Amino acid sequence: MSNIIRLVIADDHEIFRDGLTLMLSKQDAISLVGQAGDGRELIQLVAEKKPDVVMTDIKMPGMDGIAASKLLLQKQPNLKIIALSMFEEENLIVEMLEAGAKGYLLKNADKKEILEAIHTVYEGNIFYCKHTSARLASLIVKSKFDPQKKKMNALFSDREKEIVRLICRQHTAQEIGERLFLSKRTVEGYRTKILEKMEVKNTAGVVVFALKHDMISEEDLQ
Amino acid sequence: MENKILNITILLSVIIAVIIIYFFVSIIRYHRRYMKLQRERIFAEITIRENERKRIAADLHDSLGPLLSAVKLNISSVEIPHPDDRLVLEKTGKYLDEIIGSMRRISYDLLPATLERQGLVEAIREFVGQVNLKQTINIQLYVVKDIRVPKEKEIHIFRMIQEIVHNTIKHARAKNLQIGLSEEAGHLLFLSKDDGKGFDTEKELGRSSGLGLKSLQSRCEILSGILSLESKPGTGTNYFIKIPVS
Repeated sequence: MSNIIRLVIADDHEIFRDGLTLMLSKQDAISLVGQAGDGRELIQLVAEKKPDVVMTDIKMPGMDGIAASKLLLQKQPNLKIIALSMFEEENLIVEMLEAGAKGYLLKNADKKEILEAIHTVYEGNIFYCKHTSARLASLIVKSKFDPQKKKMNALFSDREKEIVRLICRQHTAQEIGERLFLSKRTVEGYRTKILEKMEVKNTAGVVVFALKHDMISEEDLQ
Repeated sequence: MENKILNITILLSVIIAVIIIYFFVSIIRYHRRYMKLQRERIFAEITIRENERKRIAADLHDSLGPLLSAVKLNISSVEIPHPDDRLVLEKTGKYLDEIIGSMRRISYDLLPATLERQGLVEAIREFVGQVNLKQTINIQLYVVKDIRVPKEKEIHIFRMIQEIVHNTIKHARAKNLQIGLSEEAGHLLFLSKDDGKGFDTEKELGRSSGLGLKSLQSRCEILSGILSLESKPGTGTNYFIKIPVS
């Protein structure tokens, strides 16, 4: 394991912060260096503790996560921010991404996903929550949030493109295999390769990438 | 003598006429006042209901939601050596997800967060998108112009459009619904057209609980708007609504 990731969290609900703290306390690779109850506290805390990653609620009293992120990134453009959202508040999530967040999570994400999100943004990649809806994916693509330069479509073989389309329609590896007369394992192999080429971590990332690069249209998702 | 009788008769007639006129004027006045009070009462009722909905939605979102998320985090922090036990906790986590999911739906039905934050048009877009995804009907929404509506009117207009869409799905059994929204000379214009089975408008408006049309009319009156609808059994239904928004 490389360096320990210094993390700060911000949420106006102490109970939720406690839950996160408890969960993170068992992680050796992550050190929780501070907690804030609103945007103003967060800004102060970041100036003091110099964390690598910030996980912040979007809606907070006083200064919300969107305003705080904008200010934080003005001072520290390299800070990695993950937005936390209670329900999938699509428009708010898009505003957070436009403000410069590098990923977002629903608050009911499980431990594995939370850790994955922290590591992903720490390594400089974008993290899309696995509960991303079709509507959110298309809102993200239409938004000013533009993390990746467009990559050439030609990088994908016809077979890969077909699999991308099926993944975007939420088919499992098993179903894709049955459709294309491939084994489940082969499909999983393709999936891994596709995720690598797109530099994304999950289906949500594939959907956003595919929409952005016109590999699928919005109608494909319905 | 005859003259006197005539005069008295005329005088009496005039007095009776005045009394009758006064009586009628009073009735009309009373009726007007009654109608005005009635409107105010409906307005107050609807406003109270909307405020109450808003409060419950906020409570669900701000109090219960984070609490459930915290419970889920706590559960996933427990290290369990036995695989069967771990399975039980994983299942419990899934149940919590379901609870949070239902809360989200309830909260949305009470008051869409988008309406509060992004305004009427965005909220309608979101609503139409969701209906298209979940129901067999195909709704096409045309927003001709950027529409600005005062905050306090938005919720009523949103509910009216929701009502029309629900009517179209539930009663008209239409396959297609077209909705047009525009703003002209300080008025919001709403037009909808479906290819459903239509209905007898006179009959439905007469019914006490017909199609939620009454609630549509009440909301429209509150907003000092005009609501007209065209429908016949066998043909589709068109709604037209005009509401001052400036």
